[in-house]
Formats: sequence, C-alpha cells, structure tokens
Amino acid sequence: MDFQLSKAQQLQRDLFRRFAEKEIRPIAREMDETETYSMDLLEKMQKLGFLGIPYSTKYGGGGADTLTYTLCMEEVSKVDASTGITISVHTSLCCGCINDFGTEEQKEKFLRPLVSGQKVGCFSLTEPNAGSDASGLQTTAVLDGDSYVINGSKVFTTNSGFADIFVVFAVTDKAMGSDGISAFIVERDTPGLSVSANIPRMGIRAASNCEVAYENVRVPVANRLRGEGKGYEIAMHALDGGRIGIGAQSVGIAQGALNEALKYVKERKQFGKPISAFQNTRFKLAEMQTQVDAARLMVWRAAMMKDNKEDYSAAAAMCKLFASDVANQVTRGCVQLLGGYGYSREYPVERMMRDAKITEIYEGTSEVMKMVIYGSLKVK
Amino acid sequence: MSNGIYVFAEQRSGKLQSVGYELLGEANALAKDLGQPVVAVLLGNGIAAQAESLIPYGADEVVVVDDPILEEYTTEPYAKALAAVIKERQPEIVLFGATSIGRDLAPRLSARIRTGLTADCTGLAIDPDTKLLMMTRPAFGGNLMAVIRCKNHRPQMATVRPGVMQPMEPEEERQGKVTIFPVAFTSADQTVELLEVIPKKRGSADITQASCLVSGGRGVGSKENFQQLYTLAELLGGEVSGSRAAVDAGWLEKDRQVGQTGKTVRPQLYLACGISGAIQHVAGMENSTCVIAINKNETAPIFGVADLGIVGDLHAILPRLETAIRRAKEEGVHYAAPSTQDFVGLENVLFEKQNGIAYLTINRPRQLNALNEKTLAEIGAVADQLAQDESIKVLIVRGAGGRAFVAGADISQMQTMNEEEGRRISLLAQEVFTKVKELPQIVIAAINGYTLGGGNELAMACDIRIASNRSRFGQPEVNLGLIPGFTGTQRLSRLVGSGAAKKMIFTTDQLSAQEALRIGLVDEVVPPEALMRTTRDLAMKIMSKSMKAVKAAKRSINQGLPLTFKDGLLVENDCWTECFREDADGHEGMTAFVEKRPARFNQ
Amino acid sequence: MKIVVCIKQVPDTSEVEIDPKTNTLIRTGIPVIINPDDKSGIEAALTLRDQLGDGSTVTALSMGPPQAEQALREALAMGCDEGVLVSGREFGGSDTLATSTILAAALQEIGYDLIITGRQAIDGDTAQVGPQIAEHLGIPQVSYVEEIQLDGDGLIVLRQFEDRYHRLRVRFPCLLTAIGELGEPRYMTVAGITASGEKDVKVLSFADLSSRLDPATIGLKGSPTSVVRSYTKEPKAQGTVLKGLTADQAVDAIMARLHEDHLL
Repeated sequence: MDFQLSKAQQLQRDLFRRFAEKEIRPIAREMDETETYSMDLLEKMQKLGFLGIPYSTKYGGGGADTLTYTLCMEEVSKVDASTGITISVHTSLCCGCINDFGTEEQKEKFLRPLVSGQKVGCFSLTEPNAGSDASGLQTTAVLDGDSYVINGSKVFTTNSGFADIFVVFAVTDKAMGSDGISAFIVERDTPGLSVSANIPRMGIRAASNCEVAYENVRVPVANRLRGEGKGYEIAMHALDGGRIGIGAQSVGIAQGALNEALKYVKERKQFGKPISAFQNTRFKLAEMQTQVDAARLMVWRAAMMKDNKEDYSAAAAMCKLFASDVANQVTRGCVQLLGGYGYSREYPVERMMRDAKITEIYEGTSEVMKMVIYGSLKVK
Repeated sequence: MSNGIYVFAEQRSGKLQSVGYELLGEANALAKDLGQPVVAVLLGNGIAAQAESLIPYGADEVVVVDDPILEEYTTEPYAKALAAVIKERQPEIVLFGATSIGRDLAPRLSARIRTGLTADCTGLAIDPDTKLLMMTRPAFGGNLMAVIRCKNHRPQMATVRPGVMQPMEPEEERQGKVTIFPVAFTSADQTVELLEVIPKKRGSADITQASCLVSGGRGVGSKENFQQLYTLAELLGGEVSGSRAAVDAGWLEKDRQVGQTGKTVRPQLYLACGISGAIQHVAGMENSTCVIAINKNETAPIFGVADLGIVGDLHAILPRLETAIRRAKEEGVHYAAPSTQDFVGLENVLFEKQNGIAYLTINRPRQLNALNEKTLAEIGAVADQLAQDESIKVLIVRGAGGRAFVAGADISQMQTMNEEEGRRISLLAQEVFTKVKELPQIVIAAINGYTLGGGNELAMACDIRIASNRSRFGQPEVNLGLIPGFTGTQRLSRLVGSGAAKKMIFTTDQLSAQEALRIGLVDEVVPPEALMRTTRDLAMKIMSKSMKAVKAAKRSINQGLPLTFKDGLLVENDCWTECFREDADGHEGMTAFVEKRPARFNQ
Repeated sequence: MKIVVCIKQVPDTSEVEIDPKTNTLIRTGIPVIINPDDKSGIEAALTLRDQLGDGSTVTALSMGPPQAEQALREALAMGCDEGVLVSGREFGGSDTLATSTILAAALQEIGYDLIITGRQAIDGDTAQVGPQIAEHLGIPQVSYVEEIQLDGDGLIVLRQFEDRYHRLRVRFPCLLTAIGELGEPRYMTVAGITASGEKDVKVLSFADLSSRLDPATIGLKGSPTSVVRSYTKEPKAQGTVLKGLTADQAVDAIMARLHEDHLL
C-alpha cells in the first residue's frame, strides 16, 4: 500500500490547482450566473492538455494515469463543478469509448483531435424515456448501403452545445433488447444533427447540457464502434470509468466548500469570538473533513484498480455512491456554517450545494450504484 | 587598519537622492559609537559642485569621482570607481541605499572585494562589545527579522531600505572637506551600451500590486468625491480601490473592488475611507501591513482590523491630510510630529506644542539627558508656563537621543557641593517635580532607555508611564553614598509599595521594563518603534473625553492619595460636585447618553 | 546558444504563518514553489530559445537540498531542456557570496552564453546572487530586466529603475536578472510533466566542482556574513481607535503613523 503520490502526480496536481485558482476561480460565479461556459477557458485547458490526461502520448494525450485524471477532476471541481463535468464527459465517456473500443483508424481520426486539444467530445445516450434503464432506448440506426441512418432524440447531453464529436447510442435491432444497441461516432456538422438551447438546471449551470435531435443523420459504417449490438456493453464500460471521475468531482466539490468554510470560521465573529472557537463548528469541520478524506481514498482506490487493469466496476460504483453523498452532506453543512452569507450568492458555497446534487443522479443514480454494488456481492 | 564609515550618496540626473541624506544621518549615529569619521562618496558627471552640500548633513569628507562615463548609472564604471575608493581607503563600513541602483552595485562590489553584504537593512547598530556592525533585515516576506554581522571581512557592507533612517538636521556651520578622487576609465569599462533613457510613466491600476491603497466605501458619497482619493493615492504612490458598495454605486471600476467578490490585496498601507468593513470586505484586505480607517460610525467593524482608527468626517479630514502630506514631501522626509518651538531661551530641554499636546524633551543626549541644575530650572519654567496654558490638554515627557529617558542627576556638578548646596538642589528638584505632578494637564512619560535616579523620579512625577521594552529602571544613589532625594523615597514607596521600593533602593538593582511593569512602576510596555505612537494615541484617546472631568479625576486622585480614606472621600465629593456646575461637562455628557448621540464637551 | 536559468526552490511566503503561542514561523506544511522572479526568467529563456529556433537550449540550474529536484522537474515540465542540481553537504550554510561562488563554478562547468536569474528570492529577498555571479565570471550584468529582444550577438534589454528605464545593448556572454514584468510564466503541461518524468536531473556535487572551488570560500566557513539571531516581529497589537478629535488632530495622528511606519 502506498498513499504517496509520485513526483509526477504531485507536479500534475500543482498544475491543476494553480490553474484552477488563477484561471477558473475568478470567473466561476459569472459562468454560473450567465449559464454559459467560457470558450476561452476551454481553449486554455485544451492547450495545457487537460482534455487528454489519461490517454497515450502516441495520440497527443497526456500520457498520465487515471489517478492523475482524478486529481484534475478534484482540483477543478473544488473551484467549479461545471468545469469538472465538462472535462469528465469529454474524457471518460467520449474519449473512453473511442480509446477502449475504437479501431486504429478511428483513434487516429477521432481520438487524436480529442485528446490533443483540437476537438471536444460528448456522449449521447440518455433519452427522454430512457434514463437509468438504458435498454429502453428508442433512437434507431438503420443500415442503408455503407452508412447508417440515425433517427431519434437525446436529452441531457453534456457538452453538446459546443462538442465536435458525439458518441451516439442507437438501436440497430429492436428485438435484441440491450444487445441490439450499437455505438456510433457522429461529427457535429453531419446534416440532420441539431442541438437545442441549454436546458435550465438547478446546478452545474455553466456546463452545456442540451437536447440533441437526429433526423436522418447519415453516418458511415466505418464510424461504428465495434460490431452491431456492442453498444450497451461499450456504454456500461464507459460509465464505469466515468463514475471514478464523478467520484473525484464530488470530492472536489466537498473539499472546495469545506475550504471556504475553514476560511470563514476564522473571520466570522459572533458572541464576541470567531465561530471557529465554538465546539459545534470544530466538531462539524472535523466530521466533514473525515468524510471527504474517506471519499477521496475510495476514488483513488478505484482509479488505481483501473490503472492496474483490475475489475473496478464495483469499486467505481462505491466511490461514486459514497462521494456524491458526502458532497451533498458537506456542502449542506458548509452553507449552514456560513449561515445567511452561505445562502447568499456572494459566497460560493450555495453554488457548490446546488452543484453537488447532480452527482447523485448522473452517470448512474445512487440507486443504480447500489444495484451494481449488490451485483458484485454475488448473492445467490 | 580599516577606518571610516562610507556612504554611497546616490544621485540621479545630478539630483542627490534623499536616501543619501538618510544614510549620512545613520552613519553619524554609528560614528558616535565607533569614533570614526563619516565619508560620503559621490559619483557622477559634473557633480563635484554638489559635494559641499553633503557636509551639513553629516559628511566629514566627501570623496568625488567625476567623469562623463558616470553621467547615467551603469554597473561597471560605478563598480570600478567605488572599488578603487574602497581599495585605497580601506573603510570599516560601506552603506548603500537599497534602491535599484544600490542593489545592483553593492553585490557586484562585494564579490569584487570578497566581503559580506547584507541586503535591504531596516536597522543598524554597533555592538558595544565587539564593535561589529549589527545589521537587521526582514526575511520571509517580512515575517522574520534577522540580525546579521560580518565578522572577519572588511568593509562591512549593507544596503539600507530608503525611508527608514533619519537624516540629520542640517548644520550649516559643520566643517568637512571635499576630495576629488581620480579614476582612469577606458572604453572597455563601458560593458553595456546605453541606448536610451526613458522616464517612467505612472503604473497600471493593478490594485493587487500596489504598495498603498486609498480605498473608499459608501461613506465617500459620490463619484466626484472619489477624486480626493485619487489625489491622495497619487501623493502616496498608490492606487485607489473600494468596497463593493462603491463599485455597485458606479463610483469605481469593478477591477478596483476589494473583498470576497473582488480582489484580495495586501499593501503596506490600506487607508479605508468611509468603509464600514463587512466581513466580505475585510476578507480581502486584512493582511495589509498597516490599516488606517476613517469612518463616522464608531461601531463600524472596520475599526476591528484597523491599526489606527479615526472616528470622524472624512470630508473634513482628507483635504487636510492632502495638505499635510504635500508639506511633508516638500519639506523633506521627516515630518516631525510637533514642529513649533514655543519657548526660546531653553537650552537643555525642547518644548513643543501641537494641537493640544505639548512635548517636553530632555535634550542632553551626550550626557544621557542627566539632570543638572539648569535642566531642572528649565523643566520648572516649562511647568509654570503650562499651568497657565489652557490650550494644552496633555504633556508628553521624553528623552532625546534614544538611549536614555534620563540617566540620573549630573554627578559631576554635585560632587563638590557642601551641605547647604546639597539641600538646595534637593529642594529645587522636589519643587520642580511637584509642579509637574500638580499640572492641570495629564502628563505622560514616554520612556526609552535608561531611567535611573533622578530620571526615575521625574518619570514618577508623571501621571502615566509608557516604556519601551529596552528601558532600564533603577535608583543607584546608595552606590554613591546618597539616597534618592528628588522625591524618590516618598514617591517610589507610594507607587510600588515600601517593600519593592526598599529592595530597589537598597540593592540598586536595575529593573527591566517587564519587571517594572510587574511591580507597577510603569503602566505599559511596547517595542521602541511603537513608543511614541502608543503614547500619542493614548494622549489622543484621553483628549477625546471630557477634559474637565479627566482633570477633576486627576485632582481627586492626586489630592486624595496622601490623605486618609475618609478625607479622600471628601476630596472626591468636591471634585464630583464640580462636574454638575453650569460650565462643566456633566449635563452635556449625560444628556447625550440619554439621547444616544455623541457628546459635545468643552474643548 | 546555451541559456542557463538559475532557479531557487522557496517556501511560498504568502502562506507563511506565525505560531501565535511560540511566536515562531510555522515551517511545516508550507508549499514550496519555484521563486516567482526565477519563473519569469524561465519564461524569458524559453521564449528566446523558441525565437532563436536554431537548436539553442535552456538549462535550469539550482542549488539546494536533494528535494530541490522537484523545482527542476517543474522547469523541465515547463519546457526546459535540461536540469542541473548543485547539491552537497559542503555547500550548506552558504551566504549569498558563497552561494554565488558555487553557482559560478557550476556555470563554468556546464557552460553558458546567457545566464538569467530572478531578481530576488522571496525567502531571503537579497537580490545579491545574480550580480555576484556575474562578477565572479567577469561578465556584464543587467538587473531588473523587464523586456528582452535578440539583437545579433547580444540583446537589447529594458532595465527598470524607480523613476526611469534604460534601454541597453549588451553582448553575450552576459547575465540578466529578471523581474515579474518580463512576462507571465507559462504553465507546465500535462504531457510536459509526463515527459519530464523520463528525463534525469543531473546532480553536481562538491567533488564534481572541486577543481574550480576553494573550500575556504564556500559553505558556512566561506561565508563572510552570519546570522547572529532571528526573531519574529511582535504580533500585531490591537489597533487604536480615536474619537472626538478635531480634523487637524486626526490628520496629526495619521501623519505621525505614516511617518513612523515609513509609509510616506
């Protein structure tokens, strides 16, 4: 067992932390209030390699490991959870599908621009009538000559407002249920693909999250990932990886809120002393930091299992289940510690509390996580 | 054998820089402890004519290297010239200003000569035992102070932070000589080619980089009023910032906002004008080195983080502050707190008055301010004048020179006295010190250094004693076969109790400031640099109360002390009753309290 | 051309806190960083190298304990070609003069055409090592540089003073000291950090430099200056709030404070 980050990992964390403090913190509030993600910020992150961290340098990626990727997720999410999900959907879900299931040609053509900072990706799975139950997809892809024709609509597609490359899941054989789903790489400028306006949300409001409509979208067969009917397996695999990222995002949100509270309790005086002098404050902070540390260790374990090519599905589900709960408890606790100011928009903890909620929902709700974890217990 | 304290007198475009005068002042202070001459080194082109002007500021000699190559500063010609001077003269100490010139030149020289150099010093002193130069400088971003010495290499070199040391009052009759020092330059000495000299324009408005911020809040009142803040900021070499209230009101650009939703700043000076200081604002500026706050509302939270808080109207204060800063800048670096010499004919004491406070300075620094007959008489004369002067509310008594408050009576004058003369000097001192004690003003002793014998007795004649932590207290008379005879035996025993008084007098042991504080001989101990500030702030605080009441309280305490408790109560009753007179402050004070408004007391 | 940037690993002094109980510096847990002025120097060196585009290289040179390797790794991750650490017990306790002596020896050992140092380090704030190195090497120096342009066999630089600038031409070899205005240092990149992990930081010990160094001029013994004692400043006292003053009295109080704190 080794809880020590390597020298390279420490440097990467320094990079992520400094960047987040200097470039993201000053604009996080404004991005939330205008519900707009800064393209300027996205470009800066692309240049520094934030959008290809765990992928091979062979394709222009960062050549780092999954653990490093979780460090990035935590550091940016400490300051702005919307940045966390923007990176996560691109990295874990979109790039993950192509990296793990794409052919060499597909990787050259699509993964390279994604991980080297030229293009942004998104993951088009959820539909109005198919959320947790992905096998209920209604979008169809019909083979016509050397291409598929995709029809249907998707919802809650993160990054879709500006993404260049969409990994789309559609039914190729309705009779086969979840084994009849296939995955396709679709470029944004393909005729028939249209993206609606942002969906108004409670939290992560800076992230782009839209409905995507596919009307007779024609995609070459060469853009299909693996064979027909492999889509469900690809999606589930990508989501397993994604959950580590969401776990790290949750840890970041919680630690970010806690850091704000730690600063505040030293400054704020009530009844003639700083509120850090009260035992309730102290115990509360101690409990919260313990929770956050535990969540972080679970995230790191899942990341290391993935790097070691072990079966990390249950570990990823556990870290997401636990960390997302911690993020919600801790942000709520921090708003309470900051009192009226915590509730005001002048302090970032109310935003963090709103942002935390989604971590229990997307990339598999907490209930789905429990199903995955129960499955791993192999109760006969 | 190395000799002399050398000062690099920096000039730019032929204008001598103030840091040179400051270094000369400090060099003179060091020279007293070292017994060595002070030499200024002046480099430039056509600069020799200005050499004389350094003599009144403390140069015993001015060494001039005058050459066209020295017109503008470049490293090598300056280094060559100074290295030549140092090699020939073998100085003990060489001082430079810690300016962008000094900090380029001095390290180059230190490597050439292979001697030590201490950067950016804020304090210099000669160690009394080793005679080494003790150089104090900040490190770790000012979090740590280090004392550094250079034991075996000569000269001992330091760059000194501008604005820290005190120049001398120029003495026009001071004697000194000017020496032209020839240095042969060649074109090879010009190792860099100066293409252009460009004057500097004012810096950008980045408030996070500014060393001084004049910051305004809701209390400034309007965008137009912010102009006053810009004027002050420019005078102080700083920038203007503000609270969210000022930005939201459209008085100020958003990038000048300090606080939770603005920027975090840590300037040397943060002058908060009309800012209430909500927690969101304070979070952005609480790490400023010095916070001065002006606000009408005395409950404003900004006062909780202010080093100096002024409850008052900024619209009245700021224009006057601007005038005062302009005057201080034009008249040189030293803004002497009190500036009017009210008493001509005094030799051994200085007496100054300013805005209700008078300063009595025992001014015989070479004799450690020892009291002789003339000094005692002058103190008495000042007390007589003060007793009639209603404009003065507080008297601050202090010693000149920084080493002693008053180190005792002048022994050389007393050693030949007969019995009658001995009685007379004691009676004189007792009379003078009683006058001081009975002054209608509040008398505060600001004590820094030796406070022995008659000095301690003078200090005890004051109402309140503030001491720097390097002060020493003692009654050494029995060493000389005498007893404390300037009120000491009576006053000390009443102040600290007879046991402590007897121990002090019988053993002659000197007390540190902390011990003096413990036994009640002094009332507060502060670092030397905070002494005058603390004393003055205390005076100001007292002056903000009803002076009629304060004076009555003083009288009640002083007159009651030698009486029995019962008789004391009678005195108290009389003084209390005075407060209810028509012209007293009692009615106004109590009415204001009931009406929840500030009281307007008699001035 | 070989550009060498001298860098120092320093505690982030903006994070330094004083222990209120013992009134001493809390040194543990303070993040260490590359000294900010040195980082501006790295940026300038990398920019020059890229402008030259002729196979010129940038070497980051540091003196310090073995842990200072991390600062050099960061320099590599920013894009420097080589990292050299001067490290050894013999060097411990060096003051600025001894430090500059050692670094000058290391610079002679590795070679240089242009040397860039930061103006001053935020822990010591001396600003002395750069000019002292230049003197040991007998090359011209320009301090407080805020602009650099290539110009044939040398550089044209803008040198900052309190009240003016000098535009100067200086020929290689020379030494510049960099200030923050020289340019915002670039970030490391993710791939740059990965790549730096595969590079070795070269370590120069006393033995490697012994032919160029007189042991009497380095370390504690070779340092003319020594620290007699150090202390933390008195904790900030509770401020004074004055009320009931006339405007003139208030101005007096403010002026006296400005004067005593050297703020004028």
